[in-house]
Amino acid sequence: MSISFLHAIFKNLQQGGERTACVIEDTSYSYQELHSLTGAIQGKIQRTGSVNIGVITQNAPETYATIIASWLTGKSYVPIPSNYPAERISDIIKTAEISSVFYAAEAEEIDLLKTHFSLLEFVNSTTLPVADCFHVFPPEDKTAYLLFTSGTTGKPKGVPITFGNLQAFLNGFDTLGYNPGVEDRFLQMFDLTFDLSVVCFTKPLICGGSFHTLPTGMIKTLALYQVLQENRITISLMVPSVIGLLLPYLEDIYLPELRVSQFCGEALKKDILEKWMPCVPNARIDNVYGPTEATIYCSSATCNPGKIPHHIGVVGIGKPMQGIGFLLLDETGMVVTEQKVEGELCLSGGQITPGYLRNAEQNELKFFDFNQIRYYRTGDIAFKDRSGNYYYVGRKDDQVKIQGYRIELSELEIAASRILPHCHSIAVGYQFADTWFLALFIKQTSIIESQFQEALKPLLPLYMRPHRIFGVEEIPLNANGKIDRKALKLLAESQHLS
Amino acid sequence: METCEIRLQLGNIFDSVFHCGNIEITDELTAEQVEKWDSLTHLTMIAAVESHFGIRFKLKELIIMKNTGDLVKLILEKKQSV
Repeated sequence: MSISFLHAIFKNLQQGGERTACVIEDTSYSYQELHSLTGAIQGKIQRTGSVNIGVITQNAPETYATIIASWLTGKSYVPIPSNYPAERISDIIKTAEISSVFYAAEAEEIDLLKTHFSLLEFVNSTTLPVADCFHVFPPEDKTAYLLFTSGTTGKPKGVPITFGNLQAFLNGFDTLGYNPGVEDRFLQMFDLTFDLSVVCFTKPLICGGSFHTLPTGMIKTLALYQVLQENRITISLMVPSVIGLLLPYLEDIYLPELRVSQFCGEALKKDILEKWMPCVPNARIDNVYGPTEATIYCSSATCNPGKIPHHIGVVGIGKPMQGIGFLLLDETGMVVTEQKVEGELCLSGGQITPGYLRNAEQNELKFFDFNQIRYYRTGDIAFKDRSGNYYYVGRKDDQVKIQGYRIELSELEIAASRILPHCHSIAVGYQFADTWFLALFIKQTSIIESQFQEALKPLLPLYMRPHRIFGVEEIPLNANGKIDRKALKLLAESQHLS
Repeated sequence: METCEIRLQLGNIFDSVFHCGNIEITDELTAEQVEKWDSLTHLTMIAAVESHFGIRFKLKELIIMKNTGDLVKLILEKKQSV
């Protein structure tokens, strides 16, 4: 497979001139400016020893230039948020064998990181020389990016995505019929640790359009509306929960220029989508689905007014994209062939990661061969209808999604047990006002919520920390003697604002 | 309704939404100073404010709101126009 997307980006950087490549913090940057930044950063990247380049996820053109520079130099990037606990950053740096971490702007959090790590390198347009960029052709099995997701053992799992995986995704994207071009303005609302961000900045640079990030220092959902409206976004990919949060204000939203509105990362509810439709009268609306391990997303369902494919109010995940195979396995490991029978969704094709980084145990569990085809077990339970459309019904395990972020509940419980080794704790996801939250129940009534939150800070990133912590006398059990998570969910829902 | 009374009532709402112990309600208080104040909790707090004071905000008003002082001012304006 030829890695043509890199060449397309390179060509646009060279020939895009004054055309806008990105708008970040209300400032436009041209392809020429991005080209120069990328070239200068390539010089620095060439001098680093490791193949994985750490990138502090700041909202700056230099951050994106570092990613592109890594790729054009044939290296991979590893996004690192500066507000992650030092212990977690240290784990990532060690596991990925990173020798350089680039950052774009000085900040308090960076100063703190400098006290822990000596490999931070400053890349800012004010100090970089003007330089041309160059382009190597990496082999398809070389890693393009490495993301760390929540792990059941308490340690994050490294998911490498190769240039071949990414090219396979982009080939599949091209068959969806959006036909993006130089006039398109893409929304980029995701943190760079979230793989949905990759298509939001890569595809515009491939087609010569622009990407638009959310300004920092604003409430994210409100910043999102502002960027959609003021920057006249034409193609957006969002997590459904942002629409859930904007629900009371949807009548104030009218976006006639949005022509593609995609949702991904969480179950999309039909009633919420129906309320969104009048806000985007000229948009094709697609619900796309896929885990990080299968590169960004790998199936798509188009939704039209009055014709939304759904199962008990949850929008379907559609049909697999070109090059992707779906297989359903029942509890005994047998292939489900009947319609409307549930099974664990397993994925195959060119988008599937080669496997978790240095994690033989998880690779053994999550990947298998069937009829000489390699599959990835998603842990998602789904079924297929007679038209070949798939529907997500739930999880096989305790993984939850909060605003699109995957969280293994056991990782939170393990962190809690490090603070109170002898106290049983249970984490649950619960819903309040159509939005998912995380709660932690600890079998100790003397727990002080604010103190426990403080204790969790050095152990878990913010998105993994619970919204509520409750001290209870007993962890409730159901009739089978198992932990009654349903009862805990109900308790968390009723106590959310207590 | 006076500004100080609104601040007092906002303090109770902030406590129930952000769960961060006692937050001192000043005009300069922003989301950056309260760890649990994010997109999720911001809109939960706004909904709680709307329900408590019996008022309704427009999206544009929420966007230009820069700090707690702006929120107090807006509540006061809305209460006076009811």
